[in-house]
Amino acid sequence: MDRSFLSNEKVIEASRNFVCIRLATYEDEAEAEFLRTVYVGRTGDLENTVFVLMSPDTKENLCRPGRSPNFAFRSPNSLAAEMNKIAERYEVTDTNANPILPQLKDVRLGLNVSSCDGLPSVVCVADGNNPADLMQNALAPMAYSEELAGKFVYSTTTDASMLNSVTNYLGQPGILLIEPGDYGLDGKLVQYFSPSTKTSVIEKALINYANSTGKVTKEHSSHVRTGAREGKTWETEIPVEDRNSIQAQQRSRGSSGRGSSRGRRPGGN
Amino acid sequence: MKFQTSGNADFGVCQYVGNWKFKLKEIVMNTSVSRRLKVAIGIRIVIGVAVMTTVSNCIAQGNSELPSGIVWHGVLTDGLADAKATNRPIMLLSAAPQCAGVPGMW
Repeated sequence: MDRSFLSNEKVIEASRNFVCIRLATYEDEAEAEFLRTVYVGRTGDLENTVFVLMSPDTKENLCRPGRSPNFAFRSPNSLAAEMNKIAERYEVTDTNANPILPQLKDVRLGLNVSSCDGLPSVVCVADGNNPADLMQNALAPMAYSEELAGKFVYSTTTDASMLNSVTNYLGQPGILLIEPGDYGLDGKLVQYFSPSTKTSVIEKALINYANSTGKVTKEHSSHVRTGAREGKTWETEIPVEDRNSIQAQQRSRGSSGRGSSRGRRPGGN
Repeated sequence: MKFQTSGNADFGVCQYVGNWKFKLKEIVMNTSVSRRLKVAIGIRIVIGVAVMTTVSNCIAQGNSELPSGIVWHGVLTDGLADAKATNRPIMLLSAAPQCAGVPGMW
């Protein structure tokens, strides 16, 4: 992912007038099909990364699609300027009416993405008596607020056992603030909010946490080398198609004495 | 430059350090004053840069506040519904949350 563009202050500011969608490649067949309609490499395979600006109905590409922003833009500033120009073309309706919680499709992916971003994770654990939408609706306005925008990674589960790898968590329904592990395969419970906790209390706690902890940064090659050596592996939901990624994975697993590269089919083990 | 080794594994790294000191002294004795001055200035510049780098790294690590970032929808249908409801253009990105099969890194 191209951090020089996406962590740029002007791009972040311009992004407030856009709906920003970041999909996890190879983690959902339907999303992969959509991505294939946007951009595929010369081989016709879905590549590791895709980037494009689109009209709200997705019918029109508003820049040249490619693997990353620098396919179409020379610099973060030129991307920000183009985004501001595009935004002027659209008359935005009320964004605060019914905000949708910006979350990952499941908690497994949520913890991993949280670790990738070096940001804390907020997880809604729902059950029959505590529906997910109530918790999500409570969190959604906060997720877009000036003080908390882009500072947490959200996900939801109705199966508390998915969080067995999170230390200090006892399996109750509610909202969890989690510090992800280095590889996003586990984590540590920082704070638990019962389903009856007032929204203002949660918001205050998240702001306090955001103001007291830094973003985690990792060194790419040592992370991958150590992870491969320690057997920290991730199985994608659908097979990886990007040939460079497949080769890298084979080299990595080969050097750590593991098996071949393959994805996990939806519904499979 | 070749360093002498004792051939005794017990000396290990310390043996190399001892040889380094000896060779360094030998080089210094055989070098002119102006050359020694240039070397001394060079060493001070290198040390200065190293100290500045260390200090800036410490400051960066001590950053104890989460920076504002882009608010990403992680589910396509949610994002498309948001775009339709608000009539905002879309910035679409896709990336794999694993590198060479190792999670925790884009």
